[in-house]
Amino acid sequence: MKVAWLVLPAVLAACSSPQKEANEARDTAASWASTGAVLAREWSRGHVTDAYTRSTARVATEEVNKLTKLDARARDAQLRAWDALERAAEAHEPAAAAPLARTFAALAKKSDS
Amino acid sequence: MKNVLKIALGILTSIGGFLDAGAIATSSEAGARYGFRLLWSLAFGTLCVVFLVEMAGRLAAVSNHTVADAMRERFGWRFFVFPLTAELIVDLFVIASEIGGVCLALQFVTGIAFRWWAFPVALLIWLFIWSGSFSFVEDSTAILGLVTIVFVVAVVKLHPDYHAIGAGFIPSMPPKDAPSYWFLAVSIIGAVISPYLLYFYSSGAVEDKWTEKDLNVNRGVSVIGMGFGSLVAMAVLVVAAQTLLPAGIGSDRYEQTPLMLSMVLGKTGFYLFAASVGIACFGAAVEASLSVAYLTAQSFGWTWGEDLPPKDDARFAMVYTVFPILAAAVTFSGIDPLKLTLFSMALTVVILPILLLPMIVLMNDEKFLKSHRNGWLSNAVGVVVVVVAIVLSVVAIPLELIGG
Repeated sequence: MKVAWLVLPAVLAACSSPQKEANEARDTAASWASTGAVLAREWSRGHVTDAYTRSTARVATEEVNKLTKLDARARDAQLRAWDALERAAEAHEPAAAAPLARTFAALAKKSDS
Repeated sequence: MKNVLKIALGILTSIGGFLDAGAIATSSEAGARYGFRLLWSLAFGTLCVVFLVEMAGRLAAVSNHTVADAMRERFGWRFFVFPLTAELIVDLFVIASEIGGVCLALQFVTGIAFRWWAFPVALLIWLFIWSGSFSFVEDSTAILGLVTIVFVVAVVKLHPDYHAIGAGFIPSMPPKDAPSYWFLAVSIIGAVISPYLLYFYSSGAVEDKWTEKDLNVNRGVSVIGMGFGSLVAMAVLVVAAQTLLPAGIGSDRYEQTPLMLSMVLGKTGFYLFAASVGIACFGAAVEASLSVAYLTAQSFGWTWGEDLPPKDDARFAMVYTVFPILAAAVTFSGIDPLKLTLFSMALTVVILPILLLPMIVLMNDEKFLKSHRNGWLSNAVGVVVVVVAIVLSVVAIPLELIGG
């Protein structure tokens, strides 16, 4: 029963608000930007395959597109970076990954602040 | 000596077979979001499953009845139809999640979207069950599943703070986002206490013709095997906490998770991650599909047995043919496998009381267990599991809506 007393307040306390939705969108955007930074770095080092990089970039684009509560400029900037990573992976140009990793890291930092 | 070998094989199969889509999804998300804080829920789930698996094996060894058989006989068909229906619905989603896991592993390696692999994977599962014997199915997937030990290797390589890991075994309130934290805790428990495992384990014990002489083997496999098996799931959580969390990656989708091993072990880590997910989920999909066939056949009194040729138990074979196809259709629909997995784990928690309460009653029935009925410890743990299961089943869906 102790668990119920711990869980129920959490359930009752949680209610959706525009501010909460905006914060969630920012958190998700930051998580995807961080993913981009790590993925680009890992790909440039040859730790992950072109195919994985490409398919993850595609999934990330889908997910970031869903973040309608996110500032449009921030969303577009991240979408552009994912598009560039996907195209680089398609063309097998890991050299392009290093600057993209920096772009993603900057986007993640911006989303966090 | 023969018993020691049996226990050793059982432990190996438990380690290799413990990890599945649910354990990988919930452990990696828990580590990525909350560090070591949710280790307690994995430990609690493991404690519960150790006792439940031991009970299922003891029932089969002493009475030569599987859990489903005994439940139907003890409580009657009118009662049994409820747990049966609930279990079949949940198992469909569990198999779909496991197929989704295999498909994602293939997507990681080939780049071809996971949904296109759904039916080929279902066909492979069917072929495996159709052509293999019980021991082949059980041992081969589990021995291959030992590849998941790579997560333990990664933990050793990462040199985590073992004091902080120890603190994670004490339940604590989350620093933020309480509904998500509790939803994950519920999902982890649902992932560890998979009811299909109990049906599969007791059916396997009957297939292997266990008797009272095998009770020590049963105890060894359930305690040591499940205990070591859960270590792998804990290792996934620790690796995610040490890699994804500091990098700010929240594990919103399965696609983000291979990075946790590539960051530690490079390209080898990436391929071993894909292999771990693929093999673990394939093994779980095979076991869950067989479990559904066992459950259905035993419920309706059909002839059953993985060691029988399919022509001799055609209806049993029909069930393990139809369910993977239906599950593949769910995966093919394109639902995000991570969301599907978390949903099926929460659904598992919802139905737990309907399955566990009659099992505890059964384990105290002299007609089935003779002198091997539950002792005070098993009953005490059984009652705690049932009470927690009832509480969790009440809060699982609201938490799913708010925090899932």
